[in-house]
Amino acid sequence: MTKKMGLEYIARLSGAAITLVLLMFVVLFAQVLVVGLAWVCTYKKQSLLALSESPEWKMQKADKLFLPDGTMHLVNRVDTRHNNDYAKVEITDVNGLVLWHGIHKDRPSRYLDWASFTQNFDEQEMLYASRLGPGLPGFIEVPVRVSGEFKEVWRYDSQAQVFAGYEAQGGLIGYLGADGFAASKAQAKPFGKFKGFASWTDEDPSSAIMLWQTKHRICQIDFRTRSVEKLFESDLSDIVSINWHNWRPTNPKDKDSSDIRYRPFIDCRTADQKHHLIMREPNQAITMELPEQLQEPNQIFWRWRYNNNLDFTATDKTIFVQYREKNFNPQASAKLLKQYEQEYDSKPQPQSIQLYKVIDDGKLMLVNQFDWTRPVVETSLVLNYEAIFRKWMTTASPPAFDLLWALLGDSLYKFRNEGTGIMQGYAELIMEWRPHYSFLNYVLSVMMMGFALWYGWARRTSWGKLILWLIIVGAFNLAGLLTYLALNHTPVIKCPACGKKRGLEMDNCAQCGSPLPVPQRKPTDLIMAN
Amino acid sequence: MTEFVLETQGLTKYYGDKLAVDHIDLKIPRGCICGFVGRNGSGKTTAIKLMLGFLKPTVGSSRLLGCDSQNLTPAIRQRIGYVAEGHRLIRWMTIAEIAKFQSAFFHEQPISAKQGEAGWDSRFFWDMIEYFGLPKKQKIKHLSNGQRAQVSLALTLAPNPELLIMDDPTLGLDAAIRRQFLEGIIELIMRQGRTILFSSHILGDIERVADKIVVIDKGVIRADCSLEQFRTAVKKVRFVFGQTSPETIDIEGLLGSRRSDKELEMILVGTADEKIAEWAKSSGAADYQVINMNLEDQFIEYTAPAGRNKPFTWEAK
Amino acid sequence: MRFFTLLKKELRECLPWMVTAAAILLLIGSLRLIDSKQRQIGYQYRVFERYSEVGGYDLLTRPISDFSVFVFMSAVGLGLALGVRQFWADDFMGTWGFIVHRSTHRTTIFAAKICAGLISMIAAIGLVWCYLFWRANSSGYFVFPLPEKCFIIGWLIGGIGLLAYLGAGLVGLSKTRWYTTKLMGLGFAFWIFITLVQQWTLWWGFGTLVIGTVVLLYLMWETFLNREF
Repeated sequence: MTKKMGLEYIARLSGAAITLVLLMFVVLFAQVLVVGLAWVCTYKKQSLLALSESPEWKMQKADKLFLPDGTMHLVNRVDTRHNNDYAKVEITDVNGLVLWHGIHKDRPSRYLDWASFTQNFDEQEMLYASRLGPGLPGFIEVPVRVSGEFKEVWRYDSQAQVFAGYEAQGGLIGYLGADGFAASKAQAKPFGKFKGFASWTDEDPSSAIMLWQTKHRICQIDFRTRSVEKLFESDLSDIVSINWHNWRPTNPKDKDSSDIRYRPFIDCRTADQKHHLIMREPNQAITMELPEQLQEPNQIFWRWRYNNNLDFTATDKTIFVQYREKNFNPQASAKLLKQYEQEYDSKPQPQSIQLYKVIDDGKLMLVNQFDWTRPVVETSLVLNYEAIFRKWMTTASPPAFDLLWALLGDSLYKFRNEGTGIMQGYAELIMEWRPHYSFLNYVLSVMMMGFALWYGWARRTSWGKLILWLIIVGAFNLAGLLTYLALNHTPVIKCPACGKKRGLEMDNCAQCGSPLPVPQRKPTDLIMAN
Repeated sequence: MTEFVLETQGLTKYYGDKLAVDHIDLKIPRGCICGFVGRNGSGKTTAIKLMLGFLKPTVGSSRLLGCDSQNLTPAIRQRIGYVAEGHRLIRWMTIAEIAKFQSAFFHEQPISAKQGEAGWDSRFFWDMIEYFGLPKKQKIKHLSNGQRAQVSLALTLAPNPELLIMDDPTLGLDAAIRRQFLEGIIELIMRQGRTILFSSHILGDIERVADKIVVIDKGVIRADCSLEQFRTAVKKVRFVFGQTSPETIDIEGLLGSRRSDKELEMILVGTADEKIAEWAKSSGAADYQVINMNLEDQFIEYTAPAGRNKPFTWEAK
Repeated sequence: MRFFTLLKKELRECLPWMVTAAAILLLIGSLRLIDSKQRQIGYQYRVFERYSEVGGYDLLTRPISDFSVFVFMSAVGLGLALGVRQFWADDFMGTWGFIVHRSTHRTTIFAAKICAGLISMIAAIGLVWCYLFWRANSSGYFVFPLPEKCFIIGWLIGGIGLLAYLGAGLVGLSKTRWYTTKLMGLGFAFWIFITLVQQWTLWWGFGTLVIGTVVLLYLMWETFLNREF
């Protein structure tokens, strides 16, 4: 092979690969467009057939709330038109006896309120903000005002993992790190790998206070006083999640008028399954290792519908733990997850909610437990045209997606749920648009291969190339066929020798081997020898 | 042994499934002035582009100055002058700028250089420009077609090319400019050993300068001979009959015929005078006359398509 | 000598586009800078609401996004214009024959065009970006000095213009009949752009740009070598 031929081959391969990828996107776009158009044309408002109002479903839908004394009530929303505070509710006991009904905000009892996840800005958002692009990466900048006047601004330096402060008129103030204020960057201790933050104001709305979470620390930063309070630090195990309750000052209109006095509370879970409880009033920090049956597994497959839930709260009297068990135990395989979900929904499932309180020696004491059975989930009877059309449109998707799913299903799932950036997009694409009806997809692929063979028969220049193209067409279905046609749309003529079609890429006819005929000389031609 | 500066072998080109040039076998010896003629769409420009390596042949090959057309080296290209149809030059350049641009691809060389030595003769270029009366600082886009053709000719001749290929160089030029153009070509001819291939629709120009003619029709070479041979071979003969002219014609070299009631006009190629006389006698013609044709008439008759609508019925053999 | 002659010719052809793009970018960039300055103190930062949590996006600022977007638009616009001028215009004007018949290798002709395009992009976009960034970093514009990373990313954004240039050039050189394959160059450039803006580290960003540029350059070169004129 000469150098020129080598260059040509590389160029052709690259060109073919690029064309194939681009045409895959074109086919995908066409699929999405058809599904969208079909849905728009067939959409009609269909009312959800109400799930039967059986006592079992009423039980399932009810909020199961605990009073501080451990009593459990079931709170049913009878009117879903309004938001939480103004919804009409019916409160029953565990035996179904109606205790009260009326507007939610007027309910006679106040139930235990739990720590929840309320981060404003997490690691993924920070990554997206850092993305390269025409708008340039963004910076977290916290302004500080004094008496309404803008005085200084603090910017987060993601490389150094500290905040740098500047006066409004220019001029460096200093740095805020994990150990507090420092005059120079070298002296400031890095906070650590960023995981998330939440921010709020105190009495004076001039500056933000931040709860800053990193891989190993939780700090509270007050920019106006330039102080950093280290609330929690874990040397050995990564922080997995934090939930907090009543930590920031409460808006008077949100203030709970009940006699439950909550302590400001942060529940920090680390990867070693420990819960680190940080409380105020008085200041207290407790590390709890829960019994195995209450530990949340580090699940690969995140499904909020089915996750067991562990919640904490702290009052002035005690620390409560609430555990909701849903009995959802899929195998560790993304490929089988959907099937398991269908089986799970199609059978009644035992559910449980348990209330514990933490007693003096750090152990848990069961206060109350309520068990019920979730009935079979009735499938919605709304015809989902979009889903139907999509299933049919995926018949034109590449079988290669199916193969990738079969080989890399778990990794793809992980990319989609935990990945970021473009790999997440590609994983989603493969998972969402892989063929639904595999048999039909293969049949279509074979038909396309047949068409490619018929089309390419006269045009073939070598068996190897033809077979390679047939494999590509087979593996990529419509996109593969379009690529083949685009790059092999060479002209054909009728062979004067055998009368069949022949391509012009080769000197001789692929069917009969004859060269292109020399034109016949006429008697009137004046061709004189030189 | 004759040295051929241009050789093609089975040169064929398809555009899609349309045949543009079909198995052209051409050999042009050194020192030859070859006129390359054909009707519109006959394949002249395609053939020239194939020879210069601008197009890839479907089948066949060609060589210029001993080098494969698909791999012409810079040194070979230096020795070939090319004038494209329409004289497309870089429009934003002035004449001075384009001369400077062109000269950068050659080393300085006086016009009296030996054969085979390409080089830019600046004095010759500016002498030509002065002769044509063109202003140095005028931009190419502000020149007329004729003026542009003059610049193009000057640019092409100044490097002293060994082989000159011109694709319809006098297209759109008036008679005066054409005359000047041809004089430039003659100037080149006077230099020893220069070879010229030029295509044209103006047969008068071919007649003036060419010593060889190649006629291409529908992509096929139909004539490749000296100009003299062509002029002698293609004849128009008018026969007059006392009664109705014969229906069937059987004569060697018949290209086509045109008949009215008592007259028969034939186009004959390569038919000897004796054969004509013999046929006239045998067919009972009262009289016959060989019509004088200029080269243009000969070309038109030689390449006339069969079945063309005329007042008289034109029947191709 | 031949290369530099061709380079001079190409640069001369790129000059009007280069000057136009630089002038537009300089004008609009400067205006946006002045606008940013006026909005800077007191406007950009919102007053926090008492008691309520502050949305993370309120604290996320992009200080020079106002004119960095124009850098991007100018780079892409200039890239497309140069790609058309250098690789399409000769088709319309019929001058390929004159150019390709120069006594030099086709690679030399191609290299001259690419170098001219690159020089034009650097001069028109790169240098203006340097000036605007220096200006933005001067006192009185922003409270914070702009980090060096932003400056480097600005060059990356200009590099996207290079992708547009090469993509347009490849489209111009392509002689395929189907529009999908003909537009493959621009399609690929767009895909590389989408991949690039999903990255958040400079290494990956520049790596993506380099890969895209190399592939496009190679395809263009191969097409130019084997193209029919």
